[in-house]
Amino acid sequence: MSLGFYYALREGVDGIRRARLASAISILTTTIALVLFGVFVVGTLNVARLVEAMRSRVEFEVFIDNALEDVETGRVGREIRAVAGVAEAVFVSRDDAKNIFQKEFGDGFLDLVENNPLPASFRITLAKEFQNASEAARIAGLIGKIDGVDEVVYRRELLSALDKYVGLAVTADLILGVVVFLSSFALVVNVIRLTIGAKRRIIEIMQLVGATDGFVRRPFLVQGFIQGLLGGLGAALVLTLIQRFLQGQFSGMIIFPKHLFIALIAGGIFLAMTASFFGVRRYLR
Amino acid sequence: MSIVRLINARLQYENTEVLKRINLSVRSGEFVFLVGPSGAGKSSVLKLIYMAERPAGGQVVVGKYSSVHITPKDIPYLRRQLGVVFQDFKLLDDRTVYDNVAFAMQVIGAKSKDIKKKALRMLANVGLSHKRYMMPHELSGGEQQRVAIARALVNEPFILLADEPTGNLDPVTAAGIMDLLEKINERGTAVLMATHNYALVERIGKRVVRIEGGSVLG
Repeated sequence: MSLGFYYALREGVDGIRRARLASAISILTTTIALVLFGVFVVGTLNVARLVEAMRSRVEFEVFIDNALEDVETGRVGREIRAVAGVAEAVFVSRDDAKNIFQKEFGDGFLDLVENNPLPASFRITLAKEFQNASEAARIAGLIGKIDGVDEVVYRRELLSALDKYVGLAVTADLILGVVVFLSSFALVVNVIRLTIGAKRRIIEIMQLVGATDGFVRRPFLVQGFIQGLLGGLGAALVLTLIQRFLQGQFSGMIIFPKHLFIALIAGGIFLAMTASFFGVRRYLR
Repeated sequence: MSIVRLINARLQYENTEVLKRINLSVRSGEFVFLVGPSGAGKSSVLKLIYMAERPAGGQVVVGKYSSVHITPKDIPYLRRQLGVVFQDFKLLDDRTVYDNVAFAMQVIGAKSKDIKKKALRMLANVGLSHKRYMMPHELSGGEQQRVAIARALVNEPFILLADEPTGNLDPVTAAGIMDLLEKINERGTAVLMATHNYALVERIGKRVVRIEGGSVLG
């Protein structure tokens, strides 16, 4: 390693020590910006997961003609499974339907009738990419036309509502994401720029005695690295505490992305080093 | 041989002409006073020489560098051949006297062994070895200027540019600084000193360039 590297490292560390308050403010700002961004990412991810879970729970119940023979039922099942978008079709016989009904509503009602009035059905789940209102309607239409199918029932309104509001929510989320990102970035850049501004005398003197731009810049980049690292670690710590708290409140329901903490630390370093780079550049011109 | 030459150099800040066709040359080992009232353009001449400003017209030649051809990347290397001192000393308040002098050598990537040897020798030359561990604010104005001079000379420049170096000092201390500058000059370093202190100039009796309203007189 060159002497210049050690100089930059020592000056960078000394720079933080000499201006403890300014450095602490820069680190805190980076932490706040990253926590904001981290909370946003976790929020978005969990809402997306919730929507996906709601979509996947939408099932089709395909009731078939009571008069159908077993052979015919098999054919209907095969035709249903052949429809593009059908992930699974489970046959529910009339006896199964009766058992389910009795489990849910008790024996009383079915005892009043002589024969089992419940029809056999297929319970269908859709492949992931088909879990939206228009695909569901198309698939319901195709299945409805299969010979031997009486009726197709599913929660059409839920899917329509999800499609409508999720589209809006995604747009709002994207805008919010950009705003959170830009404001976090601007916050860190401005705070670090101010702390570098306080050192413009040092920069001026370095230039007077013949320091190259790279030489002037390096200690500030080292400082940026350290501040970003500490800011990122701070954000990781805060989000770990938030995660623990949420896990205590809603056990396992809120998921934190796997590499969030590493991403926060890397993001902190990137943010603070970029801010330092532009902060110094202003005085190098 | 001229080591610094200003040839019809003009300097303009927005629409105001600060320097009008200045011609000036400083030879190797020479001591030149640049005198004139405040605002005459003395500091601007020095700025043109250490290329903090570029001329709007004409040319500034310093050693092998010319304002016509120099690129921003060359400027640090030009400045390593100059020493500059100011009225307000421009010391780094957060480090010791020794570190202030050593700093100028660290900037040019000198070896730590050489830095120690030369910085200590330079502090001895300006009579401040015993105060090397002190901070600038613990020194008197004259002592601070001596530190600034030591820093300016530690990289052995061929010329020392001094912008009102005695401006903030009492007459006795100012005389001490002038003695030091003369001693430096006797050892072969050219000195170009901007001042409005005519009494000081007359006492020393060196070449004088008068500047007023952005032009060299006579």
